[in-house]
Amino acid sequence: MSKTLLHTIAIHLDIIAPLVALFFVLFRKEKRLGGHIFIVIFLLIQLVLNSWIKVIFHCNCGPNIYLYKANCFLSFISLSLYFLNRWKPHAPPRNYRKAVIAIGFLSLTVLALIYYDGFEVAFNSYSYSLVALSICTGCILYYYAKIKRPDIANIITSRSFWFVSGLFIYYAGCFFIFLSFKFLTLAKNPNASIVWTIHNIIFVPMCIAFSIGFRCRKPSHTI
Amino acid sequence: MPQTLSHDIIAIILSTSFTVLIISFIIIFIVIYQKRHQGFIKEKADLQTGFQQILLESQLEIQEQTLQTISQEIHDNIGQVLSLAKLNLGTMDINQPHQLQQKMDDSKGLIGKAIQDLRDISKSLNTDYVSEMGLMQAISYELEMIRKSGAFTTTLKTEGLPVKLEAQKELIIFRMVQEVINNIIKHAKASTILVLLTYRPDTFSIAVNDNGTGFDLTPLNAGENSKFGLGIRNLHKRAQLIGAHFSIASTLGIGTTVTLQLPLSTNQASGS
Repeated sequence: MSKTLLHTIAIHLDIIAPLVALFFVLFRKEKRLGGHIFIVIFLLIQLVLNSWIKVIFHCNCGPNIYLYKANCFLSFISLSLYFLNRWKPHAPPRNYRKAVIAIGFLSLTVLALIYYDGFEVAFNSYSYSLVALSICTGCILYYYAKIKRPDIANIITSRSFWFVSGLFIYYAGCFFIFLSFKFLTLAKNPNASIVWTIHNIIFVPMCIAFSIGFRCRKPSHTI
Repeated sequence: MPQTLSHDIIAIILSTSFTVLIISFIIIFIVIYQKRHQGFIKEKADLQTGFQQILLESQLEIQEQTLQTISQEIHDNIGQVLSLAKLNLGTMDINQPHQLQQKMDDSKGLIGKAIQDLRDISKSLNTDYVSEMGLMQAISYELEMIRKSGAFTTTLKTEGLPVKLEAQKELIIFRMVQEVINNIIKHAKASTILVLLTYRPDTFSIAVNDNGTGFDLTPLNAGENSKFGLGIRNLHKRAQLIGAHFSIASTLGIGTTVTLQLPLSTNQASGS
């Protein structure tokens, strides 16, 4: 396989990977999606917006930065709803309301960061980093809950474990990329695209984890 | 594509790789931890099931043993006493008033003894007598029944302030004592049985001693449990289940001492 072809595949991994994961959604073992629908929505957001970004980029139809910003905000909303949905059955109503308020506040902060950054400047490192931090916090809380009160016999048979692990790998792995990307683009670093290719590569394990998650059956609960 | 990467890019790539590595370790750790935790929960549940099973077995064995003792008691003791009373009453001669009075008194005594023995037996017909009487009383009663047979001299001694153990543990301990006493009766060729209950603040121990022929412990210490049959293996298993230490000391020609040591929790130690 030629180097150019590999490079082309690498820069399109953020479209190919969610497409493959969505294919697994169609052939999932447990038909009922429940709260996992938010992961499907997240994948759809990635597929549609990343494809749109690539189309604009290839046909040179103007700036596409607003689509990255939309991706950032919509991903945060869908994943926050996913975590809230996971947490709802176990949380006391008062704590749940507090979490909803905290997420609402965070959403407004992300929106404000996007708004004040403008829509035609550059990739918004602050909003992406804040989203990455929030999602990683959600993942850590999920793991903490699973360690503290393990409710399923084998965690790797659980859909949510694969979804959360995929998200954790992606958002924690890309945190430094998100944090530095604005600086790299504003400094007109000629190698900035390599960093974004690495981002696309990290996107793959997340989609693989999602695909495994969709192939999981309903897990058996602890004794 | 440029040939050399700037320091910034290298730093970003390195920190990203490092983060991915750390995250992977965290995820692997969680999977391993969760698996071990589940294994532990399963083991605990199995142990609990095993405990319940042993408890049920012990209850059934105690009932069986009780029925055997009652049957023996009725046949060898009460039956004999009542036959003697019947004989006395059947051989009464109205023409010999002095002998008549004597025989009536003897018969009254014999019937009284039969009534007392029946009362004793009726106690053991209650299936929960171990938990109702408590361990010490139940052992005392068991030894009394053996003593009555006339083949053994039995002694029960206690040291320290007696405490009430958990009912389930008492039942299992009692069954173990019964099993040890049965072994003495069957194999030890002993004439005396001594049971010593020792209550210390942190441990409870029970020692059953006999003056029988004793036996060679070498095969047992070498792990050849099969030579000693199910009895000793069961005793070990039951001791393990209640968290007690079980040991046997034996000297050929002198006798055997079987000891069970159970650590006491703070609650048990304080509540006598």
